[in-house]
Formats: sequence, structure tokens, C-alpha cells
Amino acid sequence: MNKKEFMEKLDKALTDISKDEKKEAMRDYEEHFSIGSEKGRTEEEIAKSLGDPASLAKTIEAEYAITRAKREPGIKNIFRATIAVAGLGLFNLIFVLIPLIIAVVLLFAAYIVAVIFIAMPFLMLFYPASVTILSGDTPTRMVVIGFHIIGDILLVVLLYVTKGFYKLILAYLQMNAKIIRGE
Amino acid sequence: MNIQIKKGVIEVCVFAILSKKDCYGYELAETISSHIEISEGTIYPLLRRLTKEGYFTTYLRESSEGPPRKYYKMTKQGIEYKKSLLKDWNDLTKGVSELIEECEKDE
Repeated sequence: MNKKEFMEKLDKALTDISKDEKKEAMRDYEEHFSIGSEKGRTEEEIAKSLGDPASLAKTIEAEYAITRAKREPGIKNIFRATIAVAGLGLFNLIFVLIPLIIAVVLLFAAYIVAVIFIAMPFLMLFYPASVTILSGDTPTRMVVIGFHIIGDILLVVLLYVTKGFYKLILAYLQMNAKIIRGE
Repeated sequence: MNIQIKKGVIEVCVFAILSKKDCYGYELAETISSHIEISEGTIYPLLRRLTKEGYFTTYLRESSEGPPRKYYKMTKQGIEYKKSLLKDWNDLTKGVSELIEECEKDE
């Protein structure tokens, strides 16, 4: 890759920064090429040691977004910085978001099961027909109380799991926020 | 090398070099890459961020050949930051070396 190709690729890849920032960034690489040439290196050598222009563009945009989020704090800028940093591959929103959604759905389903189990004795009181099918040979009352106890235990376990889960998410978000703030 | 580790290391190198003398970007990239493998282009966004954060100022100086060069100069704030950064770095590398040494002894 020669200088022209490098600069063109960089120019195309830099989309999410202001015009002035872009001009400044391009100027730096122009300078780098011209000093390198003075020192007798070929454009190809210089381009190779600079690195891939597309990934450089991502770095430039991420640094720009971080500085902006620092100077003008706000949800929009934090969001922009998060997306820019995600583009660097430091962490990946999709890989986090999908497991998160699945976990929340599973937790919710488990809560519903627990509540139904706990409610069984009351269901039996008001709608005896709804539980008679389950009992078989054992007395219905025993089966229903058994379910109720299982539901109680499940609920307690779920509360602990939810608490731990919440802490985990928070720690993860804080870690990412730290990276974004450059700490 | 891990990209996050490298980013931190380049920052330490830049502060170490600029505390000695003002440099232009090419010089910094050349000096650092003579010691560790980096993609030299990453140095410019780093320099821009550290300049915006007030650690460096820049000025243009004509060169005998070619276009003027952008020099980076450390500010007072930069000098203060460099002290704590280098101390952190030395503590960190010393600690890690000690840990590795201990673990190898146990084998």
C-alpha cells in the first residue's frame, strides 16, 4: 500500500468525527509519510509500520468519542463512546446483551413458577377442580402443601440469585465505564 | 500483545521520552518501535487525547527539509502526571516480576 492508498482508506473510514478533527488527523499522517520519505523509507514501508488504516480510524474515533464524553458528559455522548469503544473490540454489546436477555427471561419464568406453586393451596380452596388432577393416589392436600413448600424454597433461592445477578451486571458496567473513561 | 496492555505501555513510553525533550510524532513512533513492536499510527490519536487533556502542548517548527513538524511539549500538569505514572509503572513491573519469580521457585 502506498501513501495515496493509505490516505484514501483512512479518509473513507473516518466517518464519525468532526471535519476539523479529521483534517488534523490526516495532517499527522501526511507529516509522518513526508518525514519517513526524507529518511529514505519507501511509502510502502511507512504505511506498513503505521498499521491498518481501517483499525487506526476506529482508534481515532474511539479516542475522539471518549474525549468528547469526558468534556461534555451526557447520555448521548456516553452512548457514542460506548459504541465507538465496542467497535474497538474491547467488549462486545451483542455478546453481553443476548445472554443478559436470556438470563432475565429465565429468571422471570422461574418467578412465575414459584408464585404458582405458592398459590396452590389457595387455588385448591377456591377452585378445587384445578388441582385434583395432579394428586393421583396421595391425598390432594398433601400434594398441594408439598408444592407450596417447594415454591417457598424456590422463591428464596431466586431472590439470592437475582441479587447476585444484579451485582454482576453492575460490576461489569462499571468496568466498561472505567475503560471508557480511560482509567 | 494484548491491545489494552499495549495502549498503556505506549502512554508510559511517550511520557518518558517527552520528559527528556520535545519531539515530533515521527520521532516518538521511531523511538518506541525501536524497543517494542507497535503499530506506529496509534501514537497520533493517543497524542491528541493527551494534548486535549492538558498534558502536552504542541507547536510547529520548520524543518530544513519538507513541511513544518508538529512538536509535543510537556506541560506542568504533564510533568506531575508523568511522576505518578512512572511510579505506578515501576511498582507494577516490580510486583509482577517478584510474583513470577516466586511462582517459578515453587515449581
